Amino acid sequence: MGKLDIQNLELSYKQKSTEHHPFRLSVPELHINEGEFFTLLGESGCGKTTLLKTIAGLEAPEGGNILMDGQSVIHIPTEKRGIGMVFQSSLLFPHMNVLKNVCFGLKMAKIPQETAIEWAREALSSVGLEGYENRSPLELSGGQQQRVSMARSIVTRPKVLLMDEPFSSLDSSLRDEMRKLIRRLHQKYKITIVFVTHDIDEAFQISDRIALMDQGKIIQIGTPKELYYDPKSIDVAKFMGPVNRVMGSLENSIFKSQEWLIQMPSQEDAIHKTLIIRPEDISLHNEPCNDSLNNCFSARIVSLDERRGYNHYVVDVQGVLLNVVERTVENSSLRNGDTCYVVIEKRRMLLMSGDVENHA
Amino acid sequence: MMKRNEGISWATIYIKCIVFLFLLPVGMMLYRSFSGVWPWPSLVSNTWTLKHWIHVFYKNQSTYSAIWTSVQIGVCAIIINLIIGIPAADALARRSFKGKILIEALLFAPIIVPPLIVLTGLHITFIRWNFTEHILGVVLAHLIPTLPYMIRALKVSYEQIGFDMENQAKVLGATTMYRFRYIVFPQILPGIIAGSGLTLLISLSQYIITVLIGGGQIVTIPLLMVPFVSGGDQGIGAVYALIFATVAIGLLFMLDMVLKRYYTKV
Repeated sequence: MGKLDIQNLELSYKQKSTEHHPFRLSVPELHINEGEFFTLLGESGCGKTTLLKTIAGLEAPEGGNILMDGQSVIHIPTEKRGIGMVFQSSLLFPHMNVLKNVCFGLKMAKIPQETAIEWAREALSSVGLEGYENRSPLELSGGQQQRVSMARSIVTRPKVLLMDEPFSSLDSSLRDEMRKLIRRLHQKYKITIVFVTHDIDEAFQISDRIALMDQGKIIQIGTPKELYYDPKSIDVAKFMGPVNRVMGSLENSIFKSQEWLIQMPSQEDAIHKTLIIRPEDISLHNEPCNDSLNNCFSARIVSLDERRGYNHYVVDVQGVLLNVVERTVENSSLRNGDTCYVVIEKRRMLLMSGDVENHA
Repeated sequence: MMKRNEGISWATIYIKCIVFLFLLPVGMMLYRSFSGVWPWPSLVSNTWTLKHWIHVFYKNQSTYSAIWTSVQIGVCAIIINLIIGIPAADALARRSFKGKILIEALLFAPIIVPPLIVLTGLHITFIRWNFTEHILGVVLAHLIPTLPYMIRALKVSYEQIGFDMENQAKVLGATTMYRFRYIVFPQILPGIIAGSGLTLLISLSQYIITVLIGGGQIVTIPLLMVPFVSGGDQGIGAVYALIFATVAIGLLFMLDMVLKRYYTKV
């Protein structure tokens, strides 16, 4: 119970902010497995919430199909789809107490009252809110409200639980706690969860798999590790964090850009390639390295930004500016304007086709 | 601190003045209803009597039927107004459609256009349909001045709520009927109370519409009261005015009670 399939889904509508070109959501294929924690990740306006609302039946697609456990639900109204949904704000019914809020879905499902109350109490205790039954939603803090909202959605045992940035209005320490809670609930109730977020850390922390979305399309689906270590396009790589991009061609496993030559693991020759180097795959050294095959270059530090545990550098390597992130070392002597040597980790480099300019 | 205390005392005095201003006419009417001979230019009444009250409640049996008719018309007007007003306010507040401004203007027109103008046309139509001299015709005619206020009050409530709560109820499995009953209704309740109260007060105060459409056959409290106030026995007029006020306040109170009880049951 809880398998979700999307086929050739098409939907377009005018967004107020971009009225000149209507927004178009297009998902040719998407399979979400039973019991999976699946995240739709993307920047605001990429269509992730629209996709979620379409699954919920709150938006009507122009074409395509949505299957739950192999059955098409496209013509089934939201209230009969057997889904649960948690929105960005808790949307607790202000005229009902906490218990009545949690019981609402069960009441709609015509579950006898005593059973409903028993289940609701259990759901409330699983989100850590025993004893809050008779409180008014207005007396609760933002985090507690969102917990009640989650209990209210989970108690009906939905086939699929949809979550639309449920923690984005909470402060950061609470967000972390809530992420752990939703993971626990996911394991306890074994519900299929489709989660929407724009926060990449959140997505990586909680998801089994992630679909990265951009401009109404899914650009890559994979586990957090796959997305991070094996991005299929420059856009995906860019989304995973700040990266360094160098354009050039590949000849005899040597990447040639205008400025420099970089040793690559053996690969076929190609032209018009972009080399992606992650800031954490570059290390800084005071001394020049002996081995010329090590991709070691002399560089000058242009800027240094000291953060908690990490230093963010920008270094100038023969006219190319590279972002470098290094763990803070207690007696690091590197300062702005210093000359140093950079070593680029060979195996972690990614080669993408196409010029960076088209994507920048 | 001094200033603040001064402010509070001024506010208290102000409120007391307002209360006094509102109670003064009521007190005057009570006084007038029990006073017998009150020759000019004496400042106070010479004699006390119960004859006005006896006349109204004992000799003139039509008082009771007038109260009942007024209540019936008022309550019917509220019900019909709610049936028309709830979907209309919903559409005006939360949905966009072509010609919305035009329809809104038409719905609110009775506030701007004097009802008498509409009434003249309505009277002719109602005569053709045989709606005149019948309580149903009067109820329908009372909708003209009351419906705009009902829609206005409900529209404000609808503008506050948006669709989020309903969507939440929808994903929890609530059908349209349940969504209205458990989610929308409690949230627009303040609008319903305000709109119903206004409808009731305006309906109770109608004189010309009731006379014209009712043709004198439908007798409400104002119809009994106006002749006495405008030249008959003012003592009796005072009694009717007090009845009028009591009925209005009583009905408003009941309306509030009934709706709020329903609200807490949900």
